[in-house]
Amino acid sequence: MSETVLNTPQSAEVHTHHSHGHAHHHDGHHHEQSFITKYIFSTDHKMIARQFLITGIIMGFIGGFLSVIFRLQLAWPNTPMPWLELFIGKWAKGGTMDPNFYMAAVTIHGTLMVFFVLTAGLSGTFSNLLIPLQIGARDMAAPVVNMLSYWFFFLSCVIMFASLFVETGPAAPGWTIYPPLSALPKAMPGSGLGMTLWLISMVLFVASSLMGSLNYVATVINMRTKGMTMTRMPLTVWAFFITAILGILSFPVLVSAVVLLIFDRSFGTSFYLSEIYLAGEALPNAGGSPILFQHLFWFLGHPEVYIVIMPAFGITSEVISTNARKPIFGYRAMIGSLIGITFLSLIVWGHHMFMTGMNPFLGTAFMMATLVIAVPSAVKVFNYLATIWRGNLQYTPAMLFAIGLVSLFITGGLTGLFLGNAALDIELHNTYFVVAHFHVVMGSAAIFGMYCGVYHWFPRMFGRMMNKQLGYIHFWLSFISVYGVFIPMHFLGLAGVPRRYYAFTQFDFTNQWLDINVFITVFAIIGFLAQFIFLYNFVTSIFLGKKAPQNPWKSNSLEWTAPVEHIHGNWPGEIPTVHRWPYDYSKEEAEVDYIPQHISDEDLKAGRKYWEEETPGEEEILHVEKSKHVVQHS
Amino acid sequence: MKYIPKFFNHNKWLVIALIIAFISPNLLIAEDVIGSETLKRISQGAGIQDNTKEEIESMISWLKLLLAIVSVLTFTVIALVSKVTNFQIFPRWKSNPINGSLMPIFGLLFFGGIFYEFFLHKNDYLNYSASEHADSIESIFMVTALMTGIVFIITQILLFTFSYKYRGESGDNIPFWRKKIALHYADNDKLEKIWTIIPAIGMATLVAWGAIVWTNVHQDPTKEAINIEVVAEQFQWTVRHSGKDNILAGADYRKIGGGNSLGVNFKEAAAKDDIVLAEKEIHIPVGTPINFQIRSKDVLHGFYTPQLKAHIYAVPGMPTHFLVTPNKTTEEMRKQLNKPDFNYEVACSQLCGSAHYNMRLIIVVHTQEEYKEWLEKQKPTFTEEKIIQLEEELKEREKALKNS
Repeated sequence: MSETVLNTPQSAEVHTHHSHGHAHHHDGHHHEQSFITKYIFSTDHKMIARQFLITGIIMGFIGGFLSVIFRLQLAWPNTPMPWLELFIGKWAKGGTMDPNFYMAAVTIHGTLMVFFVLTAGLSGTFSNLLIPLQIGARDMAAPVVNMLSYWFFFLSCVIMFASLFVETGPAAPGWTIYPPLSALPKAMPGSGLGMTLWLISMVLFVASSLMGSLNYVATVINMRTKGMTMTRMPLTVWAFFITAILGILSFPVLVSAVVLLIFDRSFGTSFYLSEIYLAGEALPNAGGSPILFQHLFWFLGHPEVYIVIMPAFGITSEVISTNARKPIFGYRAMIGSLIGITFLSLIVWGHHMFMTGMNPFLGTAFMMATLVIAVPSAVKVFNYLATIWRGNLQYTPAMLFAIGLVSLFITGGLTGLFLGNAALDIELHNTYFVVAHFHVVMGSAAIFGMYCGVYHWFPRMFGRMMNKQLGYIHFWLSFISVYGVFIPMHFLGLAGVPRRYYAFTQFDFTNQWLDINVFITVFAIIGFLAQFIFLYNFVTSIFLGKKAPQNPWKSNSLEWTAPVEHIHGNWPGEIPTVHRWPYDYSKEEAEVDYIPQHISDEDLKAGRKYWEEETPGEEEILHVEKSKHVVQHS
Repeated sequence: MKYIPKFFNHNKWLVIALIIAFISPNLLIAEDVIGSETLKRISQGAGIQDNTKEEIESMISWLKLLLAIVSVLTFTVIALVSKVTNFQIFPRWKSNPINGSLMPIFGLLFFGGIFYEFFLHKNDYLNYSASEHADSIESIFMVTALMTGIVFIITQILLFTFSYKYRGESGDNIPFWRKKIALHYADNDKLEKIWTIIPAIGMATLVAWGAIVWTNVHQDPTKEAINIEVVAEQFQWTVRHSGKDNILAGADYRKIGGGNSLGVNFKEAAAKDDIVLAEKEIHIPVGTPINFQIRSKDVLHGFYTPQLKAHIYAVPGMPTHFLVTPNKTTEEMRKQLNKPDFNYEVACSQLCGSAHYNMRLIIVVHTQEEYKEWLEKQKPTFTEEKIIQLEEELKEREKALKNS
C-alpha cells in the first residue's frame, strides 16, 4: 500500500503490523468472544447501538400497528370489523372495538413512540454509535454501564410489551397518565395491573436513559482525540451531548412523579388525590392535587420533546452538510440555538397546563418563555436553508429524509405559535390541532431524522449498503402520507374536535368531519405499509446488501476512517489526530470537494491522496448496457 | 424521458403491482361506501332479514382484510423483485434530477391541498365565535395565521425550489466529489442577526397581544354575573343554577349520595333557591356575563365549548371557574350558520375514561325575556320535604359507616 494514502483501512492495516499493541485487536477480535459476550451482553458501543436500533424498530412497528387499528375505528366507527378479533381478541367482540381498548391503544401508541422509539431508538442508537466514532474514542467512558443501559431498556420494553396481555388491558389513561384516572383502578380497567406495569417499566426506562446520558456526557468531555476541540466536534455530537445534559436534568423529575403515583395507587397516600367520589363511595383522600402531577410530568414532558428532536437536528445537520457538499451554515449559531433551546425548554412546561385552572399570571409567564423558544428554532431552519443554497445536492435517501425533516419542522414549528399562545389555547387545547402539531413537529420530524440517520450510517453500522431505490420509494410514500394524515387534522382542530375520542358520532360539531377521517385513515394505512418497505430493505441489507466502501458519502467526519469491519476499539492502529473542523466541503485548496478531519494542512500542501479512486459511474454504465441488451432481445 | 418507456417495457407486471398497491387502500373505502349503500338498498328492496344483513356486513369486513393483505403482499413483491432484477424506479444516474424535480412538484400539490381544504370547509371553523372574548381570540388567531402563513409559504417555497435548483448533476462519468460546484460559505453574522431579531420581534408582538387577551379573559366576575355550577363525573355533566339570589350554596363531596348527587350543603340559606337541573342543558341569557363554576366528582374532565370559547378543566378538589358573555342567541347562530338544528355543545376535553367521547351537554342561549320566562318556571330543588329526606339519608349513611 502506498504511503501517500492516509488512514484508509489499508494503511491502517499497515500500521497494525508495526504496532504490536493493537495487532491483537485487529486479527483476533472475534475469536475470544463467545456469542453471548459479542451479541448479547456486549460492551462494544457499536453493538449496543445496533441493539438499541433493532429494539426501537420493533417497538415502532408495534406502535404503528396500534395507530392503524385506532385509525380504523375513527374512520368507520359504526362498521364492525370481525377480523379485529384476530388481533385484539375479547377487546373487539364481533368486530366492534371496546372504548377501553381504544384508550389503551392510544396510550400505548404514544408511550412506545415517544419513549421507546424516539428517545431510546433514536438517541440511544446514534449517541452510542457516533459519539465514540466521531470524537475519536475507543469506546464509551463506561462500557459496562452502557451495556446495563441497554439491558434496563430491554427489560422496560419487555414489561411494557407484557402489559399488553394483562387481563384488564394495558394502561389506558393517555400517555400523560394524569391522575386521578391513572391512580384509581375503579375509574377505568386500564388503571389496574396494566398501569402498574407501565409505571415500573417507565422507572426502568428512566434508569436506562440516565445511565446512557451520563455516559455520553462523560465520553464527550473526557475522551476526545488529539486535536478534537469542542468547536471541532460535528453537530451530531453536540446535539447528543446537549440532549444528554437535558435528559439528566429532567428525567429524574419524571421518576419522582411516577414514584409518588405508585404511592398513591398502592400505599394509600394522597399526593394527587383529593375529595373524590367514585363508584358510589367517597374516598378518604384529601389535600392532594392532580395538578401537582401535571407540573412534575411536564417538567420532563416538555424537555422530552426536545430530547427527541435535538438528536434528529444533529443528524440532519451532518447529513445535509455532507450531501449538499457545503459546510453547515452558521456552525456556532447552530450550537448556540441548541443551548438556547435546552435552557428555555426547562421553563416552558406550563404551556401544557393553561386550561388546568392555574393562576392566569403563570400562564402569561409560560407563554412568554414558550414563544421565545421559537427564535432559536427559527434560526436552525434558516441555517438549513442557507446550507442548501448553492449546494451540489446529492439525493441519497438520507438527504431526502433530512429535507423532509426541515419541511416538517417548519410546518409543525409554526403551528406551535398558535398553541404556545395562552389566549389561542382556549380554543385549541386538547383538540386535534394539538395532535397534528406534535405529530408533525416531534413525531414525524424526529422519525424522519431517525430514518435519515439509519440510511446514512447503515454502512458504518452493518458494513453493507442499503438499497437506494427502496429508500426513495419509502421516502416519498412516507412524506406524502405524513402530510396526508396530519394536515387535515389541523382543520379538525380548528373546528374544535377534541382528541382521544373513541368516535366522533356523538356531537354535531364533530360529526360533520367523518369523511375527512376516512381520508386520514387511508393515508395512515399507506404510510404504515410504506414502512414495511423500509423493514424489508433494512433486514435484507444487513445480510445481502452490497459491501460498503470505506467512505460511501465522501464525508469528512472521523467515523469514516475506521475500518468497515467492526473491531473492538474502533481503530486498529492509533486513533487519528484531528486537524480541522468537520465541514470543510468544496474548499479551493483541495483537489476533491471534501477534506476529512484527520488531514492536516501539510498533507494537503504535499498533495497526498486521502480518497479511494473509484468511478461511481461504473456500476451505472454496466446497468445501462445490461438493459440495452435486454431491449434487443425482447 | 428516455427511460420511461423502458420502465414500462421491462416491468409491466411490476408497474401493475405498484398500481394495485396504491389503489387497494382506496378500494377499501370505495368498497365501504358503495358496500354500505347497496346493502341498504338491497335490504330495503328485498326485505332481507337482519341475520343475512349481518352476514353480508361481516363478509364485507373480511373482504377488507383480504384487500389489506393483498396490498401488503404487493409491496413485498415489489421489494423482492427490486432485489432480484435490479429493478430501478429511480435509475441511479438520474436519482438527483428525479428526486430534485419531485420536490417542487410535491410542494405544489402540498400547497394546493392546503388551500383547497382551507376554502372547502371554511364555514366549519371560521366565523364561529359567539361570545365577547371569542371575538378577540378570533382576531389574534387571524393575525397569528397571517404571520405564520407568510413565513410558512416563504420558507417552504425556498426549501422546495432550492432542492430543485441546486440538485446535483449526474450523467457523466466524473464523480460528484471531484466537481466542486458547491459554494464554500460557512458563516455570516449579519444574516444570523437578521433572522434572530426578526422572529424575536414577531414573537414579542404575539406575546404582548396574547397576554392582553389572556388577562382580559380571566377577569374576576362582577356582581351581575350569573353563577352557574357545572359538575362533571364519569360520564355526564350536572348543572346547578344559582336561582334568584344568584348565590350557589357550598358543597362537600362527603355529602354526595342518594337524592343529593352534587353534595350540596342543603342547610345553607343560599341553597333554598338553587336549582339542580334534571335535563342536560344550561340555560343562559345573551349579553350577560356568566360565571361557570366547574367541579369534578371523580377524575379530571375538561369543560369545553367550541363556539363560546370557554375552556377549563374540572379538577377534583379544586373548583375552577370561567367567565363568558355570550353575544349570539342559539336562534341567531342557527340563522347565521344556516343550520336549523344547531346547538351550542359542551364537550369533555380531558380524557376521563371509556365514555369520554360521549359527555354531551347543550347550552341554550336565550334572549333576556326568554331567559326570565324560563327561570320563572323552574322550581327550587331543595324544598323543605327534600331537606328532611336528605337529612335522614345522611344519618343512615353515618350509621352504616359506624357499623362497618
